[in-house]
Amino acid sequence: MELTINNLSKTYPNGVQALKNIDLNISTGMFGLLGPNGAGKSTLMRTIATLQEADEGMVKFNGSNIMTEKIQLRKQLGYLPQEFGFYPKVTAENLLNHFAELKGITGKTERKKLVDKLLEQTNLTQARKKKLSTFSGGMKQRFGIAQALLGDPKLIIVDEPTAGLDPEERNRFHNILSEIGENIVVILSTHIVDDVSDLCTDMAIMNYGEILLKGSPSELIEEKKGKIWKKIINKSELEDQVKKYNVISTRLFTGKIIIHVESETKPGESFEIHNPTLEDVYFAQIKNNHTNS
Amino acid sequence: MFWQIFTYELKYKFSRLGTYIYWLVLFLFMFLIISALGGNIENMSVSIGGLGGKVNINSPYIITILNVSFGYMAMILLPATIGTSIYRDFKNNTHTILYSYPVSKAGYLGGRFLGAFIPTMFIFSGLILGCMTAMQMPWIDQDSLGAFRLSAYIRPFFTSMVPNILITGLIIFSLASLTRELLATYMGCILIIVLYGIGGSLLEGVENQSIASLIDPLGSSAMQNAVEYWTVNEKNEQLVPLTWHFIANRLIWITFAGVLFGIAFQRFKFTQQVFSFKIRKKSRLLLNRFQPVSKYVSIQIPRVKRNFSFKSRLKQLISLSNNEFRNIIRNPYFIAIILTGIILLIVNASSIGKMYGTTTFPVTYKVMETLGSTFYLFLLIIITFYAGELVWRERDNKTDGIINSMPLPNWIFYSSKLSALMMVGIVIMLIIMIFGLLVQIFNGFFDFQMGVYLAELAMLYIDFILLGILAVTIHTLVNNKYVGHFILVIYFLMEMFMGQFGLEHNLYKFNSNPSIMYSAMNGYGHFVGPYLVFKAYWASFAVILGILSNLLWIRGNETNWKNRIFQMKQRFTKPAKIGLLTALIAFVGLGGFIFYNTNILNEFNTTKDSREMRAEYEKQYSRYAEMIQPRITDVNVNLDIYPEKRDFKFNGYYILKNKSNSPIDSVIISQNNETIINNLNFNRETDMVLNDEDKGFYIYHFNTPILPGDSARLDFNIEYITRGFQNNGSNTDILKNGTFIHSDYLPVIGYLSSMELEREKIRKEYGLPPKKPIASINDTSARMDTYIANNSDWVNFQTTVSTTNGQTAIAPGYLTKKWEKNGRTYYHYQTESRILNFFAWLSADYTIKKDKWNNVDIAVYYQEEHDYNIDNMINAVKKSLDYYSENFSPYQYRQVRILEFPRFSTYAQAFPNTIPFSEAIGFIADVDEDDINYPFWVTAHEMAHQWWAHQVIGGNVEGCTVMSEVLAQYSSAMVMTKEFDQKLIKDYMDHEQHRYLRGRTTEQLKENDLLHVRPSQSYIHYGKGCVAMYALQDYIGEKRINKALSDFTKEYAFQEPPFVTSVDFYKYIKEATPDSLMYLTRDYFERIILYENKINKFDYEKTNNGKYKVTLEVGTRKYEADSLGNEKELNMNDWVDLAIYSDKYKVDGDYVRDTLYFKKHRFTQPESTMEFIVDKEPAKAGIDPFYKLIDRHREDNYKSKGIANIL
Repeated sequence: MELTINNLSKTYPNGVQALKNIDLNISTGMFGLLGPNGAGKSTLMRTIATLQEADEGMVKFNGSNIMTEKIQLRKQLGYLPQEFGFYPKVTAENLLNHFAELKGITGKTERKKLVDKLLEQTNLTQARKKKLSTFSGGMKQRFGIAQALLGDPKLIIVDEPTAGLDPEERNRFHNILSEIGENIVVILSTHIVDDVSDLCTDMAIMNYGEILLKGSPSELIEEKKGKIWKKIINKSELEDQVKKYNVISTRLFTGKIIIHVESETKPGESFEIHNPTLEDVYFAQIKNNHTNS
Repeated sequence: MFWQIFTYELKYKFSRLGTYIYWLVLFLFMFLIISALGGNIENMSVSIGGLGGKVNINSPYIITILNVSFGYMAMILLPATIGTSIYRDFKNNTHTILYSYPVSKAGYLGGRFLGAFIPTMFIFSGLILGCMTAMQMPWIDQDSLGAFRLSAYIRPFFTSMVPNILITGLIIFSLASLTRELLATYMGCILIIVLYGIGGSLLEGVENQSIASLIDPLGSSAMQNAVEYWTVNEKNEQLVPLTWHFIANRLIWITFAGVLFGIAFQRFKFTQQVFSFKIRKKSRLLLNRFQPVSKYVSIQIPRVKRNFSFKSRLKQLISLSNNEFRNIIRNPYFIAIILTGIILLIVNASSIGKMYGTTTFPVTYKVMETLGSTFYLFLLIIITFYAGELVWRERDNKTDGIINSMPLPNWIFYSSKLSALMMVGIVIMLIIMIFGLLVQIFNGFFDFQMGVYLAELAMLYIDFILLGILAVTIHTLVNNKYVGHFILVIYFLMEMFMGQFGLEHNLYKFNSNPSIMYSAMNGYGHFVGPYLVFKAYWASFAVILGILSNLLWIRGNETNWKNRIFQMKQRFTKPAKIGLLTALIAFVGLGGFIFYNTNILNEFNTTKDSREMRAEYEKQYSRYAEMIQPRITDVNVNLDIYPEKRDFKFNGYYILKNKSNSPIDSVIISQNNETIINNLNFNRETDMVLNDEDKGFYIYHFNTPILPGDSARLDFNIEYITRGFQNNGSNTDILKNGTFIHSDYLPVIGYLSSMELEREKIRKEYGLPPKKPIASINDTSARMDTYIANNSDWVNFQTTVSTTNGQTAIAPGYLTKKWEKNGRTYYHYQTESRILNFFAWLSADYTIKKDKWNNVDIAVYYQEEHDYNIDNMINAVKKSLDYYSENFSPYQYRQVRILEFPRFSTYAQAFPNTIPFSEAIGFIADVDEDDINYPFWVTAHEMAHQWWAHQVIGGNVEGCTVMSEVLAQYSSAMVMTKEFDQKLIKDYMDHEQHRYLRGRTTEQLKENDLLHVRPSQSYIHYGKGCVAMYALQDYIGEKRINKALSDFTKEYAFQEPPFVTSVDFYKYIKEATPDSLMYLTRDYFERIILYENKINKFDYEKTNNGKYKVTLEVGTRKYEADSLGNEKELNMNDWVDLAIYSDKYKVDGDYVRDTLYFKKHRFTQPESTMEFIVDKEPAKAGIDPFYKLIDRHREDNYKSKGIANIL
């Protein structure tokens, strides 16, 4: 099972180039696509979900071209868009049942079983008779993943699923996601580094429509080992420090600022070595991309 | 704060392209309409009520009517221009941020409203400016342009449009801020338009004008009311006046809208809570919160079978459609639209078939006609909005990402939307049907015709579906909800004008078909076939649209055309290709079949074609108009009617006699173009010297001329054959049941001046001088003919008419023989004395009711179930025979026959002893005691024509209808006076005055006085004639007038040419008039006189001796108008009735009043105060209470005391 993206490009009518020659190979397991807002992640997700045409390039899933064989892909797809809503006056159970039917599960008893099970798995059993308009953000998101799991998908795309969720709901959501990524391709697009570090075995960083970095999170972190330095400074020193060093991230801490600097060698006396996290990998990459472009 | 928000909004609105597009659309729309109305542009001519003849295109009246009426329709823009200025905050969720700012309510609501109001005024100025610009264009007919008047444009803008934008805008804005829903704003708009409609339909009745004026939020009824009786001169010269009603209407509705805004202001809070129609409050679910994750469940999803077979596709389709359907049906706004429609149904159901204020029985087709036309607007509204809602539903709910990536084929989306719309249609049809049945049951009418219900609903439903498909297609293509709605509204407006833009063929007009009409006698008859063919044609077009929408359906995020076309190509698979090809073949095939029928089997003539033909006819042949021709003295015709095939054949002869002093060597024959001449043969040698088959004009030259006093015989064999079907206007003279064939299918001797074009403007286009409408009263040569037939005097008539067995065929004359042969029945009719050259044949399956008056046989031939008014009609026949034979002269025949014919024409007509009578104007009338009994009246009127046409007939000059229509109106009024309560006579005069005053507003040339009335001025000979003669017999005395008529008849009945004129008749009336009343006779016959009689004040007090002293302040004014309506006031020196009545009280369940005082007074001053002593307590006073004098404001002729009396 493999999703291959070759040389994919897309420019919107307003001139924004959302995808620039994207090449990616994604195999089974949880794949994290990390990038800031506006990086082109959703465009990529929608293109894979057959909702958008690309100007150039090709996307293949298990060898078949999804651009021309849309229906083939859709039969294997579970998609949770970044922004979505539901018909407000319908209950969770009824809507999931309706969706299941649309996914081709036309056997009535079978469908009922599946819907019950999915509601249970997503911890929505108690709320199944409630209208979707009354759902909280987390419940809505869980309902969203429930519908994506309908009909035995081989490819699941979840676009920014944890944005706006409180830590507990996010935790709950991660819990569900972590269970489904075994034998199928799951693409998780997010701007939250923890989502990727918590869940993914493989990842890519994207910005300005380009893939900046590919690899497994642990390898990528390993590469940065010994190259990240940190220092606590006063606010007034910041400007000076940014000029002087390759600052990749800043963070407030008890009124002072912790800066992270990427450097092969110790940049200065006051710096101490930092054990890199995926966040540092991400920031370093974004920073470099900024500087280059 | 206000200022910033206001200016921001203003800038925002003026920076939007939409603002300018709306402006441009309104500008162009009006520009086009004016150009079409006033220009001489090829293939483009539009006419609207009130314009024509001498009314200038840029008269204040036309400018006002046009701008204001299109302004009403443009109100549909307000949700977009004003509603959005508050709604967009909710739509874009800006309110969550904005409402946390320190903004004042007044600043926010006021600023936003005003900031939207001003740009909306700008948009609407497009109408006015479009109008103004178009008027300056070189193609506008200069003759129809008056002087430019800026005020003519400015006044309607500021008194009508701006207040309407304010009223509608405030209502919409308030609804938007209260509900935060887009549809609510449209609902507000619809409600306003519905009230406008209710006002309009109330205005049609004579009684409800005040209510109508106030109920309509847009002030249209109030304005219409003010100009109701406007003549040409008033339309050209005066600005539409700001009447008290109009101003009151503006104030009331501005106040109402202001109060609503106040309420909205009160209730508006800067919160995210919404006022909503839901009963239960929304509560956010907080289940499962604050529980730590206690275990990591492993996701185990049962494996399921998935099925993508066609059967499961169908299941999915049903599931999706149901989902869409339930969503619409449960939508509160849908329910509100339906309820609004039902309110309008209830209003209109009370006036089913109203004529002269009298309703008809709620027979199924009438009920369906009323309900269907009432609901039609709502069908269009539902189609427009819900097509949009359906197309946009996923995207509005943001479910589109999920749904669109489902493994569903493309066609299923479109199909599910369409099926939902179809189901909605069925629900509406059921509602209409149930309501129709309720109306019938409520009226105690139980003759439900389920077949008619189903047929009418099916036709309505087909329209609904086809227009629905179009609407979904448009919404899919333009992919913008507002633009979609707007295009649809424009489309529906343009549809009304299409015919006038030169597109007359139904092949070009989406969803159009030749008219189809049910008649109790004829059923749907021959209309069914062509209707179905046309609908199949448009249905196949709709399939093409459907496939197109399918291919271009927005699935996903691609909305630019490049990618949509790319996707379209991708989706254009084999089934789509096969479907498209099949539909195209059906469309082209059916189109070809239609074309073969309409243009090859039949002749298709556009209005322009037939105008050209008529102009040519006149140019080539009018030189023969004066050529002396022999006159028809005998007509002997056999007619074979074939109702099933809708064919008929004439076979017969004329005897033509040379009544002139010189030999006649040529005869002109004009032919009815629809017939085929098989044979025309004179009994002497002839050469055909002119043979124009296209125009049906032939000249035969005799080798030996017909000498004076000598005769010739013309044998003819003519047939009419129905071939296929026509584009429109199929022949309804020959029907499966209810054939009614006029003698005008027969050859005519001489040039037909009735072929000439009438309207001056059109004549000018073809280089023809204005047409003289009718010969002057002094033209003795014109008087050689009667006004109903040329080149004939009184003729001997006999006919054998045959029809299919089971039908009865009738023609004027007495039945002398009846026989059957080859499955057909033959009837031979013969007259005993000579009659006018004016007859007809009827054939139908009749039920017959017979009666007798002295030795006169009375028979009514009618459709079996139409037995409601038969006795009423027979009674009218008898009462007429009584009155007319006693007062005028003996009845010249020994039979009277009334013959029902289908409702495709709505008149009754008097042939000698034979009265064809449309089923629509009396047979199903539901006459109550308080109603004007029009079946009785129409019968009495047609009976009177047996004297006033068939005994005395005017020559073909001005004033000719005085001796027929005016006298028939008078005679029937007198029979009614004897038969019915006085109050009904008053109502009757009210209607006749209304007919006259309304009629003179649409005069195309000039208003003649009664003495010189032209036959086309029916408003004068019916309306004014009736009031005039009724008043004269009241003032002068019934006996004296009748004596005059009797003397007149003695002198002129059955005269030989030259025929009598109104001047001859007038001598008798003048002779009967005493000197003191000569002014009245002259006023009525020789001038155009209008009164303004009014009770200004009515007071009374009790006197010591138990009587009552009444004080009246009376206004009496008199005006004379010229033929264009220029008026001048005259000195009053006239007699007018004055009446004082008691309060109403009940006698045997009926309310009555005592007449305490009733007398004619001579008034010499415009204002007079008078005192009277009466015996009982008075409650009501009236001047000219029976409306004997023409008065434009008859409602103020009465004044009552106490509220109870006003109501």
